[in-house]
Amino acid sequence: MTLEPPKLTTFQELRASSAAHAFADAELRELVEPKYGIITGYATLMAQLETLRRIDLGATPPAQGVPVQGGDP
Amino acid sequence: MTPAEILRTPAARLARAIAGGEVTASAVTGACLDRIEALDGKARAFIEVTADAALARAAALDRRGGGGPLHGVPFAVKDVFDMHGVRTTAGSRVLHDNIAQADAHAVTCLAEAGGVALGKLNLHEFAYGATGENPVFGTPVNPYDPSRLAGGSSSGSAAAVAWGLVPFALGTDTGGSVRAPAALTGLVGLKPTYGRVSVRGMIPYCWSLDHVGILARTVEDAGLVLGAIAVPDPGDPGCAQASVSDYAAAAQAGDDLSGVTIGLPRDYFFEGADPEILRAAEAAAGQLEARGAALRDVTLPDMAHARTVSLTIQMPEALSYHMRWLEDRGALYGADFRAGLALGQNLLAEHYVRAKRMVTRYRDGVDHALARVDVLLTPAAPAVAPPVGAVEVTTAGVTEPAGNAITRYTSFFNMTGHPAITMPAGLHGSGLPMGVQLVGRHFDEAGLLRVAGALARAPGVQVPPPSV
Repeated sequence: MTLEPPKLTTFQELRASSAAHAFADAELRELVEPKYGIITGYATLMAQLETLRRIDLGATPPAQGVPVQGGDP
Repeated sequence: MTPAEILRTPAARLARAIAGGEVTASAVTGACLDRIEALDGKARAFIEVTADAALARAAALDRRGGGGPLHGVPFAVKDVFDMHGVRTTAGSRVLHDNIAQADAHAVTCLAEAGGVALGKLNLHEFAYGATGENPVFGTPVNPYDPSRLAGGSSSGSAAAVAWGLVPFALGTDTGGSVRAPAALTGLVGLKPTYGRVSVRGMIPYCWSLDHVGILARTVEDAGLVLGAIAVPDPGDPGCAQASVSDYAAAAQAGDDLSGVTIGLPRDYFFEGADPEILRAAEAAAGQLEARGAALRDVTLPDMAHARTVSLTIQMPEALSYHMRWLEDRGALYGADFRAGLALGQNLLAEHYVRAKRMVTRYRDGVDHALARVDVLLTPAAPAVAPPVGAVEVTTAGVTEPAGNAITRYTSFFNMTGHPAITMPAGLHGSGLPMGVQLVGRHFDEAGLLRVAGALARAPGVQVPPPSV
């Protein structure tokens, strides 16, 4: 599936209709046109998550804490 | 001991000197405070120095005598750990009025071991980034070249130890925030097993990935401090009830590594890095082999999605924690962090759960590798410390955001929860430190420190102290 690049208006509409924090337009714009260099933008992350979605994880459960098996071996 | 001798003496040796009457806790504390006064204007390591309380504490320890394994040894903590009566800012204006009502569990443990707290250390705001840059409190810099970063997010912890202001410091490690800055500044950085050390009294960044960590000058010191803080804590539901070894002794257990197998995950971890750093990692493996260890190539899970998985866990968890301040204090956050939180708000719940399921895969894959070898060895970082202000780093043809480069080889083991240590591996041609990373089995910090200790005593590994 080819993902459409997100528009600022998409995030604005979600902001208006979600039980969520009302991030400012400037912060939502960083998702569309990233410039701070820490996140690579929503479209890039979604493309990566789409690839991840195609991995068959079978019945693998979510990770929990690391179980202790007798402490130091 | 003269002040100069005090300042270059590692923590374990200082503790022995104080116990043996060679020097007092007050003299050691005074020497550190004087150096902070002289150099922290350049280092930018401290957010708050608790000098009066430290001197009073040291004097009391001198009067009382005896004590724990860190009796009279100064330290400082990343400013996400609570110290009773002291402001905990997390490097942010958001918490400008946040006075702690009690010590964090790790701080309590260090006090019970006889340590002397000197104050709170700088960091990337709320431990969000690996460059350690902080527009509110200044950016900690690297003593080997002050135009370079100390790394982050525990930037102040790395700078404090590397500039010789304290013998050791506590940091936190969510994607390499202890190990990476340690590697960039010529220090030892230890991240224990997930859950080994209580996080009670610590401001979280991402509950699923946060680890308390240690920055020190020697492997023995890292082991000594781990022994002090690895105290099971019923007040932290995520803290393991695991048995604790004499980790300092493990680090000093000798150089014979016969029977130990070192795994080299050559895919991903030995690619796209500075050739000098790769040679240093190969040389470190050779030193371990020369001490009797066997070397074996191993394959870890596919890393192609590792950073995506980590980010998909980090941002929703960070957003959930910070939601309580976003309405009233939102304007006090840095713009980059708020943008990251906005990303966290626009991920699907299934993305988060899928990422957590990938973590199970990763953890199983590393466990599988560690069933055949005792310890993994990788470079600590693909490049030396980037310049202050660097947005991107290009190494061996790979261009990536500076923060991604700094933590490229470390963040995976926050997801898997395995104990990992970074340590010096010689000086780069640029004069900056290089490092390697060793990774052990869950809760086998003793085995990890045994190998690290042997490597630390090998020729060509140590780095000279910076000329500051």
